[in-house]
Amino acid sequence: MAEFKTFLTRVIKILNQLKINYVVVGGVAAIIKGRVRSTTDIDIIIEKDLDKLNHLYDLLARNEFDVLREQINYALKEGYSISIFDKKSIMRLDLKIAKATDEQEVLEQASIEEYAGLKIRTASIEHILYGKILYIGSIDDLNDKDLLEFNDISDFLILYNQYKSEIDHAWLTEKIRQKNLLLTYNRLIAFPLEKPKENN
Amino acid sequence: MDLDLFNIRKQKLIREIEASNRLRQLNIHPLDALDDLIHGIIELRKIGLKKQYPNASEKVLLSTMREETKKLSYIKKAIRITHGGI
Repeated sequence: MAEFKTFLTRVIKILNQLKINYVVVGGVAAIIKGRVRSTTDIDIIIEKDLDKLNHLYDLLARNEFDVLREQINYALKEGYSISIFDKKSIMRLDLKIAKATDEQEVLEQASIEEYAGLKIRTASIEHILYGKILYIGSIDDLNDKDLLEFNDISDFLILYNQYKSEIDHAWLTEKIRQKNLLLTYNRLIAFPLEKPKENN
Repeated sequence: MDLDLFNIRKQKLIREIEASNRLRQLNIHPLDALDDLIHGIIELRKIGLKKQYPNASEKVLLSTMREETKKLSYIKKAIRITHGGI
């Protein structure tokens, strides 16, 4: 029992021990905000600090994560996300080192969520929605039926509808406009999610 | 047919929203729900694998499940690529 909780606790404790700035993004961030679904990985963006990154490798290896020093170097050099598998479970840690402006921003504007005695730095709802739109990309070639096949689209629709009244719409729209993805955004926010009328 | 499938998926999404709201009302943390889900998935998969490989050790079962998870993530990425970058 508590496979995920144990995994998350081990990861957060390592990051706290390092005092490295981090933020949980992606599926787990969406789940923390209230989207109930399954996942087997945690996406985390961390600050670029060479000393701490060296130490991160040692701590992960010592705590039974299947990690290579080359992976950390690769993430640092290429700016890609690296997958680090846990030796004790089926979970995976997807780690990215902040490089782009958006990544720096999500890192700096993280909110603190409390869970199982942990304080978890999590992406804000606007950043989660923005990240989902970036990941979804253009959807011109998909019909409505196919749209609903994708987890990221369901994440977006559920969270958007849940937080509609609290979101900073101006910020979100401007960020998405800058990425030329307003068509995707407008189509998703107009997506009809009304309940069917029940027959008497 | 397509419209039916669309409506089925849409209703599923609506039910998911209702389920999320219900969990919130019940004060259940979504990460606890995730923990239960993962635990259930692992236990079910273990039962399936044990039937297939009755003599496999816990270590072998775990590594088989990890490999399956890895493959699934590659398949998901491939699906996204074939659908215009999603």
